[in-house]
Amino acid sequence: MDTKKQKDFQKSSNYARSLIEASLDPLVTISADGKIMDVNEATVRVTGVPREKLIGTDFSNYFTDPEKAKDGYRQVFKDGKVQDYELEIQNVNGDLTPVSYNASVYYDENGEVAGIFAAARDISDLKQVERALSEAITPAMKVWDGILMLPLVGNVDSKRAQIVMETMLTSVKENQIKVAILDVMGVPIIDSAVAGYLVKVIKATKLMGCESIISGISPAVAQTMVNLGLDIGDVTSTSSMENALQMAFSFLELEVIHK
Amino acid sequence: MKTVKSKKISNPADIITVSSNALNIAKKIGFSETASYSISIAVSELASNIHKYAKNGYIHLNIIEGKNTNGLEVVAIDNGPGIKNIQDAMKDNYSTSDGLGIGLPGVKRLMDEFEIKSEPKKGTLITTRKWL
Ligand SMILES: Nc1ncnc2c1ncn2[C@@H]1O[C@H](COP(=O)(O)OP(=O)(O)OP(=O)(O)O)[C@@H](O)[C@H]1O
Ligand SMILES: [Mg+2]
Repeated sequence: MDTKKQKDFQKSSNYARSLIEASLDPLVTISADGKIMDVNEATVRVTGVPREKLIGTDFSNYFTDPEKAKDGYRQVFKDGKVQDYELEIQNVNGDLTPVSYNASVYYDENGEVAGIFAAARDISDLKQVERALSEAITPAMKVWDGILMLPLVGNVDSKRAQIVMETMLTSVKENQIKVAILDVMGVPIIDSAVAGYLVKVIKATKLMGCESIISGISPAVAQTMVNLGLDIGDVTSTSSMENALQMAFSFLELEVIHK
Repeated sequence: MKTVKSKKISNPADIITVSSNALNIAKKIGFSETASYSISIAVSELASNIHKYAKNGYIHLNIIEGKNTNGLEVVAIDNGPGIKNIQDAMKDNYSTSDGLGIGLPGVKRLMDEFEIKSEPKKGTLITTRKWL
């Protein structure tokens, strides 16, 4: 290249770089073996990792679900692109950012695949709305004669606990419920405050002559509750909804039989 | 020691944020499901106490290096009313509010190390660690 051409090239590549840096979306290029080749400032911000520490490391490292991230870039190499591929970026500070990726392969001057160019769009707002919606509705379903099911999704604060209490007591009264199943699988944190609310709801329900079963307590949650010192006393709890239903049937002296 | 998160606690949403940060960090650095959940509950209890008794304060999450292994350190600081009788506060079912009174003794059980400093009218500093 002569000097003029070289200057022009330098200018246009500086210009391209500044465009990439100006993007608020995290942008990244990935090599065939899944390593990060280049990133922009937005990627540095969302991961909390400096540029020089990102480059050369596994792309999948920075997601809550590394396997899904790997599947994503493998798919790009296979099909040439992916669209609206959802992942969650994990910052070193523990913050999670839900993102939607659009990615495609790009080529070198010989027409060979050089790697992947991937752009992430922050979809936190969208997810926030989805979450708010699912927290706003606390559905109570009568699943059998005398059996109520109440799946709790999202965080339980005192206001929410109040709503659950009212929903539960109203449907117990209106539908002559004898057993209520409170499913807490979708509640991310069960600390002493949340447990306190649950116990209150269950006691009130009991006063109306209705037994409660808590389902959706995973082994990790159960063990932590015991270590914390939570004594949910005579409250029946179980890991699966299936078990809870079985218990409810046997409490009502019902039997499920094969025909 | 590396501080990976410092979070001001001033409303209930902050409690949820910082406990899920702790859960994510713990999992990432190799704690088991149960240990990670334990740490996040400990953080939730400490942050709730800050919000309930001191109105606001800070939670710091630090990755620490021990002789043989790494760990996660949780520091809870506030300039609130402080605790008059720490011995009582550390007892199960002791509460000056309408709580169950298991927060502090529970945190001690969930974590490997626990230190508490508190002075009436000055504030409270709790440092607690869990090793991998
Ligand atoms: N940061 C703090 N500042 C001032 N007082 C505190 C603080 N943390 C705890 N305490 C005091 O210690 C007592 C015991 O705390 P603990 O967390 O064990 O129980 P609780 O908050 O009352 O109930 P629970 O945590 O079970 O909902 C509290 O009632 C309160 O008087
Ligand atoms: Mg407490």
